[in-house]
Amino acid sequence: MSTRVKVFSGFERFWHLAQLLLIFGLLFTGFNIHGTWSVLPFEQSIDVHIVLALSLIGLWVLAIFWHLTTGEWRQYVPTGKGLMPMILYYAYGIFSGEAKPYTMTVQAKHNPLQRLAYFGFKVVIAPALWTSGLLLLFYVDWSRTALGAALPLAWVAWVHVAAAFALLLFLIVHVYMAATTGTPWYAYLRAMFVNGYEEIP
Amino acid sequence: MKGEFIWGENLTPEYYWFDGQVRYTLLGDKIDDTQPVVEINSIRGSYDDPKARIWPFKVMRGKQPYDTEYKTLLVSHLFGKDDDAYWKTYDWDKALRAGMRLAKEIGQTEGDYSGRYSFIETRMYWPITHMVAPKEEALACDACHRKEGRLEKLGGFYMPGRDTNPWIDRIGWLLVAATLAGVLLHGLVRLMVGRRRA
Repeated sequence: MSTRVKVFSGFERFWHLAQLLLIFGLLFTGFNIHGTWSVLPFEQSIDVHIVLALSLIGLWVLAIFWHLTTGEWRQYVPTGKGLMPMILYYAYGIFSGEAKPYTMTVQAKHNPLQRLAYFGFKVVIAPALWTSGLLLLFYVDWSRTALGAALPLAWVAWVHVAAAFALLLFLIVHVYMAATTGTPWYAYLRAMFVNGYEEIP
Repeated sequence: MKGEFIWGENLTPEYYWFDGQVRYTLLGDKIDDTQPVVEINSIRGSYDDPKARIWPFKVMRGKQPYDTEYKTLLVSHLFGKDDDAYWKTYDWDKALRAGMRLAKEIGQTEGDYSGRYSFIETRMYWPITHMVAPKEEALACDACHRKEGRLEKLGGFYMPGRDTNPWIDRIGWLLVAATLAGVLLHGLVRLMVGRRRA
Protein backbone atom coordinates (compact mmCIF):
# COMPACT_ATOMS: atom_id res chain seq x y z
CA MET A 1 0.00 0.00 0.00
CA SER A 2 1.45 3.34 -0.96
CA THR A 3 0.39 6.87 -0.26
CA ARG A 4 0.53 9.89 -2.49
CA VAL A 5 2.54 12.56 -0.77
CA LYS A 6 3.49 16.02 -1.91
CA VAL A 7 7.30 16.02 -1.81
CA PHE A 8 8.10 19.07 -3.91
CA SER A 9 6.46 22.32 -2.94
CA GLY A 10 5.46 24.91 -5.50
CA PHE A 11 8.52 26.96 -4.64
CA GLU A 12 10.87 24.04 -5.08
CA ARG A 13 9.43 23.22 -8.47
CA PHE A 14 9.64 26.86 -9.55
CA TRP A 15 13.20 27.03 -8.23
CA HIS A 16 14.18 23.87 -10.07
CA LEU A 17 12.54 24.85 -13.37
CA ALA A 18 14.01 28.37 -13.31
CA GLN A 19 17.40 26.94 -12.46
CA LEU A 20 17.13 24.46 -15.33
CA LEU A 21 16.38 27.18 -17.87
CA LEU A 22 19.03 29.55 -16.52
CA ILE A 23 21.75 26.91 -16.32
CA PHE A 24 21.14 25.58 -19.82
CA GLY A 25 21.17 29.15 -21.12
CA LEU A 26 24.38 29.86 -19.23
CA LEU A 27 26.09 26.74 -20.55
CA PHE A 28 25.05 27.60 -24.10
CA THR A 29 26.14 31.24 -23.99
CA GLY A 30 29.18 30.43 -21.83
CA PHE A 31 30.70 28.00 -24.28
CA ASN A 32 29.84 30.48 -27.03
CA ILE A 33 31.91 33.14 -25.23
CA HIS A 34 34.65 30.58 -24.65
CA GLY A 35 34.86 30.03 -28.41
CA THR A 36 33.75 26.40 -28.33
CA TRP A 37 30.96 27.32 -30.71
CA SER A 38 29.92 30.57 -32.36
CA VAL A 39 26.17 30.27 -32.76
CA LEU A 40 25.58 33.76 -31.35
CA PRO A 41 27.78 36.79 -31.94
CA PHE A 42 30.14 37.40 -29.02
CA GLU A 43 28.32 40.55 -27.96
CA GLN A 44 24.93 38.86 -27.59
CA SER A 45 26.36 35.84 -25.79
CA ILE A 46 28.06 38.12 -23.26
CA ASP A 47 24.92 40.21 -22.72
CA VAL A 48 22.65 37.18 -22.31
CA HIS A 49 25.20 35.37 -20.14
CA ILE A 50 25.41 38.31 -17.73
CA VAL A 51 21.63 38.71 -17.43
CA LEU A 52 21.15 34.96 -16.87
CA ALA A 53 24.02 34.82 -14.36
CA LEU A 54 22.70 37.71 -12.28
CA SER A 55 19.21 36.16 -12.40
CA LEU A 56 20.62 32.85 -11.19
CA ILE A 57 22.47 34.51 -8.34
CA GLY A 58 19.23 36.29 -7.41
CA LEU A 59 17.39 32.97 -7.54
CA TRP A 60 19.99 31.37 -5.32
CA VAL A 61 19.71 34.13 -2.74
CA LEU A 62 15.94 33.56 -2.71
CA ALA A 63 16.40 29.78 -2.47
CA ILE A 64 18.93 30.05 0.35
CA PHE A 65 16.48 32.26 2.24
CA TRP A 66 13.70 29.75 1.63
CA HIS A 67 15.82 26.80 2.77
CA LEU A 68 16.94 28.60 5.93
CA THR A 69 13.46 29.73 6.93
CA THR A 70 11.75 26.41 6.19
CA GLY A 71 14.55 24.29 7.63
CA GLU A 72 14.65 22.39 4.36
CA TRP A 73 18.43 22.93 4.19
CA ARG A 74 18.66 19.78 6.33
CA GLN A 75 17.73 17.80 3.22
CA TYR A 76 21.20 18.52 1.87
CA VAL A 77 23.34 17.63 4.86
CA PRO A 78 25.45 14.72 3.64
CA THR A 79 25.49 11.46 5.50
CA GLY A 80 27.74 8.44 5.17
CA LYS A 81 24.99 6.17 6.49
CA GLY A 82 23.51 4.18 3.63
CA LEU A 83 25.84 5.72 1.09
CA MET A 84 27.64 2.51 0.20
CA PRO A 85 24.43 0.51 -0.39
CA MET A 86 23.26 3.30 -2.75
CA ILE A 87 26.51 3.15 -4.72
CA LEU A 88 26.33 -0.65 -4.91
CA TYR A 89 22.71 -0.43 -6.00
CA TYR A 90 23.51 1.80 -8.98
CA ALA A 91 26.60 -0.26 -9.78
CA TYR A 92 24.88 -3.62 -9.60
CA GLY A 93 21.51 -3.99 -7.89
CA ILE A 94 19.65 -1.81 -10.39
CA PHE A 95 20.47 -4.34 -13.12
CA SER A 96 19.44 -7.40 -11.18
CA GLY A 97 16.13 -5.87 -10.20
CA GLU A 98 16.84 -5.37 -6.52
CA ALA A 99 14.72 -2.90 -4.61
CA LYS A 100 16.18 0.54 -4.04
CA PRO A 101 17.99 0.47 -0.65
CA TYR A 102 16.41 3.77 0.26
CA THR A 103 12.89 4.91 0.92
CA MET A 104 12.03 8.51 0.34
CA THR A 105 10.24 10.38 3.10
CA VAL A 106 9.10 13.98 3.14
CA GLN A 107 11.72 14.73 5.79
CA ALA A 108 14.49 13.06 3.78
CA LYS A 109 13.62 13.06 0.10
CA HIS A 110 17.14 12.65 -1.17
CA ASN A 111 19.02 9.38 -0.85
CA PRO A 112 22.55 9.57 0.63
CA LEU A 113 24.20 9.61 -2.79
CA GLN A 114 21.93 12.43 -3.91
CA ARG A 115 22.64 14.37 -0.75
CA LEU A 116 26.35 14.08 -1.38
CA ALA A 117 26.05 15.09 -5.03
CA TYR A 118 23.77 18.07 -4.35
CA PHE A 119 25.91 19.10 -1.40
CA GLY A 120 29.00 19.00 -3.60
CA PHE A 121 27.22 21.07 -6.21
CA LYS A 122 26.16 23.65 -3.61
CA VAL A 123 29.45 24.02 -1.76
CA VAL A 124 32.00 23.45 -4.53
CA ILE A 125 30.72 23.85 -8.08
CA ALA A 126 28.21 26.67 -7.62
CA PRO A 127 30.44 28.90 -5.44
CA ALA A 128 33.40 28.32 -7.79
CA LEU A 129 31.21 29.42 -10.69
CA TRP A 130 29.74 32.53 -9.18
CA THR A 131 32.94 33.66 -7.45
CA SER A 132 35.01 33.33 -10.62
CA GLY A 133 32.12 34.69 -12.71
CA LEU A 134 31.74 37.83 -10.58
CA LEU A 135 35.51 38.33 -10.67
CA LEU A 136 35.43 38.09 -14.48
CA LEU A 137 32.46 40.47 -14.66
CA PHE A 138 34.10 43.11 -12.46
CA TYR A 139 37.68 42.60 -13.64
CA VAL A 140 38.24 46.30 -14.42
CA ASP A 141 37.41 47.20 -10.83
CA TRP A 142 40.03 44.97 -9.23
CA SER A 143 42.66 44.56 -11.95
CA ARG A 144 44.69 47.54 -10.64
CA THR A 145 44.47 46.55 -6.98
CA ALA A 146 46.60 44.17 -4.91
CA LEU A 147 44.25 41.36 -5.92
CA GLY A 148 44.94 42.09 -9.57
CA ALA A 149 48.68 41.85 -8.96
CA ALA A 150 48.27 38.50 -7.22
CA LEU A 151 45.62 36.90 -9.38
CA PRO A 152 46.04 36.69 -13.16
CA LEU A 153 42.85 36.96 -15.15
CA ALA A 154 43.66 33.71 -16.93
CA TRP A 155 43.49 31.74 -13.66
CA VAL A 156 40.05 33.15 -12.90
CA ALA A 157 38.90 32.21 -16.39
CA TRP A 158 40.34 28.70 -16.04
CA VAL A 159 38.50 28.16 -12.75
CA HIS A 160 35.29 29.39 -14.38
CA VAL A 161 35.68 27.05 -17.36
CA ALA A 162 36.72 24.08 -15.21
CA ALA A 163 33.74 24.63 -12.90
CA ALA A 164 31.47 24.85 -15.96
CA PHE A 165 32.75 21.44 -17.06
CA ALA A 166 32.12 20.07 -13.54
CA LEU A 167 28.58 21.46 -13.76
CA LEU A 168 28.08 19.80 -17.13
CA LEU A 169 29.25 16.43 -15.73
CA PHE A 170 26.92 16.84 -12.76
CA LEU A 171 24.06 17.64 -15.14
CA ILE A 172 24.56 14.61 -17.36
CA VAL A 173 24.46 12.21 -14.42
CA HIS A 174 21.68 14.15 -12.68
CA VAL A 175 19.44 14.14 -15.76
CA TYR A 176 20.07 10.44 -16.35
CA MET A 177 19.34 9.49 -12.74
CA ALA A 178 16.38 11.78 -12.26
CA ALA A 179 14.75 11.09 -15.60
CA THR A 180 15.07 7.31 -15.72
CA THR A 181 15.54 5.67 -12.32
CA GLY A 182 12.17 6.26 -10.68
CA THR A 183 9.43 3.68 -10.36
CA PRO A 184 7.96 3.83 -12.94
CA TRP A 185 10.98 5.31 -14.66
CA TYR A 186 9.37 8.74 -15.13
CA ALA A 187 8.16 9.05 -11.55
CA TYR A 188 10.69 11.70 -10.51
CA LEU A 189 10.09 13.71 -13.66
CA ARG A 190 6.37 13.75 -12.94
CA ALA A 191 6.91 14.78 -9.34
CA MET A 192 9.29 17.58 -10.22
CA PHE A 193 7.62 18.97 -13.32
CA VAL A 194 3.95 18.08 -13.15
CA ASN A 195 2.42 18.02 -9.70
CA GLY A 196 4.99 17.59 -6.94
CA TYR A 197 3.45 14.27 -5.82
CA GLU A 198 5.33 11.07 -5.25
CA GLU A 199 4.05 7.60 -4.35
CA ILE A 200 5.63 6.67 -1.07
CA PRO A 201 5.29 3.08 0.16
CA MET B 1 60.47 51.23 -63.81
CA LYS B 2 60.39 52.61 -60.25
CA GLY B 3 61.00 49.29 -58.59
CA GLU B 4 58.33 47.23 -56.94
CA PHE B 5 55.56 48.46 -54.69
CA ILE B 6 52.76 46.56 -53.09
CA TRP B 7 49.84 48.84 -52.49
CA GLY B 8 46.94 47.89 -50.29
CA GLU B 9 43.55 49.47 -49.84
CA ASN B 10 40.95 48.96 -47.09
CA LEU B 11 43.54 47.10 -45.11
CA THR B 12 43.14 45.62 -41.69
CA PRO B 13 45.57 47.45 -39.46
CA GLU B 14 48.10 45.72 -37.26
CA TYR B 15 47.69 46.15 -33.52
CA TYR B 16 50.36 46.79 -30.93
CA TRP B 17 50.59 48.01 -27.37
CA PHE B 18 51.44 51.71 -27.52
CA ASP B 19 52.12 54.22 -24.74
CA GLY B 20 52.30 57.16 -27.13
CA GLN B 21 56.07 57.19 -27.38
CA VAL B 22 57.79 56.69 -30.72
CA ARG B 23 61.55 56.47 -31.03
CA TYR B 24 62.89 57.47 -34.43
CA THR B 25 66.06 56.25 -36.05
CA LEU B 26 67.60 59.52 -37.27
CA LEU B 27 69.80 59.86 -40.31
CA GLY B 28 72.98 60.06 -38.26
CA ASP B 29 72.07 57.15 -35.97
CA LYS B 30 74.11 53.96 -36.23
CA ILE B 31 72.06 50.98 -37.26
CA ASP B 32 72.73 47.34 -36.47
CA ASP B 33 73.01 45.65 -39.85
CA THR B 34 73.47 42.22 -38.27
CA GLN B 35 69.72 42.31 -37.53
CA PRO B 36 67.47 41.20 -40.38
CA VAL B 37 65.27 44.28 -40.05
CA VAL B 38 66.00 47.87 -39.07
CA GLU B 39 63.19 49.76 -37.42
CA ILE B 40 62.91 53.27 -38.82
CA ASN B 41 60.81 54.02 -35.79
CA SER B 42 59.99 51.84 -32.84
CA ILE B 43 57.00 52.02 -30.57
CA ARG B 44 56.80 51.35 -26.86
CA GLY B 45 54.18 49.93 -24.55
CA SER B 46 52.96 46.67 -23.12
CA TYR B 47 50.00 45.18 -21.31
CA ASP B 48 51.81 45.75 -18.01
CA ASP B 49 51.86 49.51 -18.54
CA PRO B 50 48.48 50.90 -17.42
CA LYS B 51 48.94 53.93 -19.67
CA ALA B 52 49.50 51.86 -22.78
CA ARG B 53 46.65 51.15 -25.16
CA ILE B 54 46.13 48.74 -28.00
CA TRP B 55 46.65 50.92 -31.04
CA PRO B 56 46.12 50.28 -34.77
CA PHE B 57 49.11 50.78 -37.04
CA LYS B 58 49.92 50.79 -40.69
CA VAL B 59 53.25 49.09 -41.07
CA MET B 60 55.45 50.09 -43.97
CA ARG B 61 57.86 47.33 -44.88
CA GLY B 62 60.65 48.32 -47.23
CA LYS B 63 64.24 47.92 -48.30
CA GLN B 64 66.49 50.92 -48.00
CA PRO B 65 70.09 51.80 -48.87
CA TYR B 66 72.54 52.21 -46.01
CA ASP B 67 76.20 52.99 -45.69
CA THR B 68 78.06 49.75 -44.97
CA GLU B 69 81.05 51.65 -43.59
CA TYR B 70 79.35 54.26 -41.38
CA LYS B 71 76.35 52.04 -40.63
CA THR B 72 73.89 54.82 -41.24
CA LEU B 73 70.80 55.05 -43.39
CA LEU B 74 71.29 56.98 -46.62
CA VAL B 75 69.19 59.55 -48.47
CA SER B 76 68.76 58.86 -52.15
CA HIS B 77 68.08 61.42 -54.80
CA LEU B 78 65.28 59.72 -56.68
CA PHE B 79 63.92 61.99 -59.36
CA GLY B 80 64.83 65.14 -61.23
CA LYS B 81 66.10 66.19 -64.64
CA ASP B 82 69.76 65.78 -63.64
CA ASP B 83 71.85 62.70 -64.30
CA ASP B 84 72.26 62.02 -60.59
CA ALA B 85 68.56 61.23 -60.17
CA TYR B 86 68.12 57.51 -59.69
CA TRP B 87 65.06 57.21 -61.90
CA LYS B 88 66.98 58.94 -64.68
CA THR B 89 70.19 56.91 -64.82
CA TYR B 90 69.59 54.04 -62.34
CA ASP B 91 72.94 54.58 -60.69
CA TRP B 92 72.61 54.07 -56.93
CA ASP B 93 76.03 55.40 -56.16
CA LYS B 94 75.40 58.71 -57.91
CA ALA B 95 71.90 58.99 -56.47
CA LEU B 96 73.10 58.40 -52.92
CA ARG B 97 76.02 60.77 -53.27
CA ALA B 98 73.70 63.53 -54.50
CA GLY B 99 71.03 62.75 -51.92
CA MET B 100 73.45 62.85 -49.00
CA ARG B 101 75.11 66.03 -50.29
CA LEU B 102 71.77 67.80 -50.32
CA ALA B 103 70.76 66.39 -46.95
CA LYS B 104 73.94 67.76 -45.45
CA GLU B 105 73.50 71.14 -47.15
CA ILE B 106 70.06 71.66 -45.68
CA GLY B 107 71.13 70.38 -42.26
CA GLN B 108 69.28 67.06 -42.20
CA THR B 109 72.45 65.22 -41.25
CA GLU B 110 76.05 65.79 -40.44
CA GLY B 111 77.01 62.37 -41.65
CA ASP B 112 78.73 61.49 -44.86
CA TYR B 113 78.48 58.87 -47.52
CA SER B 114 81.51 56.59 -47.67
CA GLY B 115 80.82 55.34 -51.18
CA ARG B 116 79.99 51.84 -50.01
CA TYR B 117 76.35 50.98 -49.77
CA SER B 118 74.04 48.04 -49.45
CA PHE B 119 70.37 47.48 -48.77
CA ILE B 120 68.64 46.44 -45.63
CA GLU B 121 65.03 45.67 -44.76
CA THR B 122 63.30 48.39 -42.83
CA ARG B 123 60.06 48.73 -41.00
CA MET B 124 58.10 51.81 -40.05
CA TYR B 125 55.05 52.02 -37.80
CA TRP B 126 52.39 54.59 -38.59
CA PRO B 127 49.87 55.04 -35.78
CA ILE B 128 46.40 55.37 -37.29
CA THR B 129 44.02 58.05 -36.13
CA HIS B 130 42.57 58.98 -39.50
CA MET B 131 41.12 57.03 -42.40
CA VAL B 132 39.08 54.94 -40.01
CA ALA B 133 36.19 52.92 -41.48
CA PRO B 134 32.73 54.59 -41.49
CA LYS B 135 30.47 53.90 -38.53
CA GLU B 136 28.39 51.36 -40.46
CA GLU B 137 31.50 49.25 -40.57
CA ALA B 138 32.35 49.64 -36.90
CA LEU B 139 33.80 46.45 -35.49
CA ALA B 140 31.79 44.01 -33.41
CA CYS B 141 33.23 42.32 -30.33
CA ASP B 142 34.10 39.17 -32.21
CA ALA B 143 36.47 40.99 -34.55
CA CYS B 144 38.90 40.36 -31.70
CA HIS B 145 37.13 37.98 -29.30
CA ARG B 146 37.72 34.96 -31.50
CA LYS B 147 40.46 32.69 -32.64
CA GLU B 148 42.48 34.20 -35.49
CA GLY B 149 40.89 37.57 -34.83
CA ARG B 150 42.48 41.01 -35.10
CA LEU B 151 44.30 40.72 -31.81
CA GLU B 152 45.50 37.15 -32.38
CA LYS B 153 49.17 38.13 -32.08
CA LEU B 154 48.86 40.48 -29.13
CA GLY B 155 50.30 38.85 -26.04
CA GLY B 156 50.50 39.37 -22.31
CA PHE B 157 46.86 38.97 -21.39
CA TYR B 158 43.91 36.56 -21.40
CA MET B 159 41.07 37.37 -23.78
CA PRO B 160 37.82 35.38 -23.71
CA GLY B 161 36.92 33.94 -27.09
CA ARG B 162 40.57 33.89 -28.15
CA ASP B 163 42.36 32.25 -25.26
CA THR B 164 41.74 28.92 -23.63
CA ASN B 165 43.69 26.57 -21.48
CA PRO B 166 43.85 23.66 -23.94
CA TRP B 167 44.28 21.12 -21.14
CA ILE B 168 41.16 22.21 -19.28
CA ASP B 169 39.21 21.96 -22.54
CA ARG B 170 40.69 18.60 -23.54
CA ILE B 171 40.19 16.98 -20.14
CA GLY B 172 36.78 18.64 -19.77
CA TRP B 173 35.38 17.32 -23.04
CA LEU B 174 36.98 13.93 -22.47
CA LEU B 175 35.20 13.65 -19.12
CA VAL B 176 31.95 14.84 -20.69
CA ALA B 177 32.25 12.16 -23.38
CA ALA B 178 33.16 9.48 -20.84
CA THR B 179 30.25 10.45 -18.59
CA LEU B 180 27.82 10.48 -21.49
CA ALA B 181 29.05 7.09 -22.63
CA GLY B 182 28.83 5.84 -19.05
CA VAL B 183 25.18 6.81 -18.52
CA LEU B 184 24.23 5.55 -21.99
CA LEU B 185 25.86 2.21 -21.33
CA HIS B 186 24.31 2.02 -17.86
CA GLY B 187 20.89 2.74 -19.30
CA LEU B 188 21.34 0.32 -22.17
CA VAL B 189 22.32 -2.53 -19.87
CA ARG B 190 19.33 -1.75 -17.64
CA LEU B 191 17.05 -1.88 -20.66
CA MET B 192 18.44 -5.18 -21.91
CA VAL B 193 18.51 -6.89 -18.55
CA GLY B 194 15.05 -5.56 -17.71
CA ARG B 195 13.60 -6.85 -21.00
CA ARG B 196 15.08 -10.30 -20.47
CA ARG B 197 13.58 -10.45 -17.00
CA ALA B 198 10.15 -9.33 -18.10
